[in-house]
Amino acid sequence: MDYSLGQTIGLSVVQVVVVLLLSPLLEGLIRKLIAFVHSRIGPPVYQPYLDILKLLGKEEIASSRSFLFRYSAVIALTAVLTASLLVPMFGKPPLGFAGEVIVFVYLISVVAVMIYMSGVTSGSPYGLVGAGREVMMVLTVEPVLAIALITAAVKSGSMMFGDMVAWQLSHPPALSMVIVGVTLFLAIVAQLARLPFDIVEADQEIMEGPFVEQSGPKLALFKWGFYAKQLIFASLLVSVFIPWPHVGKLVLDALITLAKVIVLLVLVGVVHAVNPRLRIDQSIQFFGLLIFAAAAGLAFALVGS
Amino acid sequence: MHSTGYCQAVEKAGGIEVPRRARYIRTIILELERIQSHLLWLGIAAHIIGFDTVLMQAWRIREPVMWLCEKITGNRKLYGINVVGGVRRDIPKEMHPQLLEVLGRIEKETRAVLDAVVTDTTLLARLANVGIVPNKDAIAYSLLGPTARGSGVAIDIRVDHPYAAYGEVETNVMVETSEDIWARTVVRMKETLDSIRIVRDCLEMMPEGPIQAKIAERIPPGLIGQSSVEAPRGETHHYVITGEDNRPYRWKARAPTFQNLQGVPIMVLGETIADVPIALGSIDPCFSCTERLETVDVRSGQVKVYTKADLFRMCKEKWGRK
Repeated sequence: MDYSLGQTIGLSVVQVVVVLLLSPLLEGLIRKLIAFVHSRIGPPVYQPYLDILKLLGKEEIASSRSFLFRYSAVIALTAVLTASLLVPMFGKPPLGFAGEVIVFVYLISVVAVMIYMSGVTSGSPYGLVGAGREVMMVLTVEPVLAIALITAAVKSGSMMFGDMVAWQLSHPPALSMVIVGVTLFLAIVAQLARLPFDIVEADQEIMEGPFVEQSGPKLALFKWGFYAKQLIFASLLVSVFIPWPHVGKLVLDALITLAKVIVLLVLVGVVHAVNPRLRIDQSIQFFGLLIFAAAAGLAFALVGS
Repeated sequence: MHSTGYCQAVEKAGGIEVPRRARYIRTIILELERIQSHLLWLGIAAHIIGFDTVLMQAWRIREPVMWLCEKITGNRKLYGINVVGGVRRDIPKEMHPQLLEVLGRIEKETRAVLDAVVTDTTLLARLANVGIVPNKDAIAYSLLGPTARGSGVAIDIRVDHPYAAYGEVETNVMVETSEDIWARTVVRMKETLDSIRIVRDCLEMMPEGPIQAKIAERIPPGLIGQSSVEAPRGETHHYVITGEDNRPYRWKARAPTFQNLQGVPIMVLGETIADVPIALGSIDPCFSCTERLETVDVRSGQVKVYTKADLFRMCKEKWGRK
């Protein structure tokens, strides 16, 4: 079933608005959870909305005249929101086309490149160190993401998220999908800059790294992009790798997806709360092994299990 | 801790004998301070490597210790309990059950956190084999306190030159030999638990009697006194020359941080940026205690050390005050 042009535009707008409005709430929930583990009361659940509003209202301060420094946040958020149009959150994604998986991986890389650019152009040594770390993280984390999605593509015989979900629903859980699903989860923890992979920012070491000079509306957009990324990655994992139960009613399915997303983000939050930060070399080592694990999953998929 | 050092120095100069009960109370306060200082350090060290859960839990456990101190002295910190010749406040028998109950709770919670910390492999990956100070360097650079004990140097003023009640209460020197940040962490954790035991022993063994010595109206001027105290960070020395009107003529305190800072370059040599904050943090630095400013001209390699008089003059010049 393909959408007409009008439907596509309508659905796209709805999905972007939902992602933008819902993602800070999920961040608030994670903060509340972490506060619970810390024996703290924690900020109110709506605190991320206030953060964004406050930052958006601040004056623009730039440490550099670079074009990329000024617009990296805008480009990053745009890339995240475009990527959100490809992810099946509530049924079929609004922008479905052959090869959307590849576009998705590239769009996510754009975010990483923008973080890198923000660091490099900030004119701060902390920014440079952070940018270097970002590159090392991307080079080790994105292959895991790519291999996981390729495995799903091999199993379902399609490069579209919608078909992957349909294949998963019509088949029993496959060993290969379970393996890459677990590796994808760990890659997502790193993608979301959660501990123990909070290495790029590392505020006690390099003072937020690439974001050291970002402030005001630019920082707000970066933050919003991160919140949106949280929702997108979580819904990608739950809808492609854990699509059950699927009832077929749009509203009910959307609620089920949301519940699963929250459960997944709770897991991410728990991992965040019980780990110290790894060093970049330890993280590279870890993801090096994880790439092998994901590749093993892919091999299983190729031999048909 | 510093007030104990100062009072002991003056008492030595004036030849004042402190009553036994007062010495036990001093010991209790010193050990309570060690407990809360080590828990504070554990929290900060965990925060430096991003482990905020340990920060929050360690500081939550620390809170009842502050409460104990307030109960005994009236203050959470800076107890103001020492006077020359004894202590200002007694710890009456009626207070003991309450203190023991709180101590028991602290011990249970501290053990729980320490068990969790010791079995955490990610934490071990960050702390073990990082920031190493070899035993011979620790001796050569005169490192002190837990920093030295983590490198296998068994020095502890409490045992080497007993003061207060340490000669009578069993005191153990905690030594680790792995020479890394992990060793310093383990030393502090063991000391925390040992301190809880020492406080308990002191409460039990505390003799009856006065808490202040009878002091002659004036302590004669020109007498010299020196005392050393094992602070949570390492040994602290106080040197006093008495003056007219019961005032010190000269007084010099040496805190351990300046000594321990000398070990940091050895720790961070060849390490990554990520390890520098925790290596520096592992000595439990107190920068306000270092009272020394030096500038290094990178091009010529020339070092200039500023004295207090220099700083005072520069300050006046800058702000134009008389």
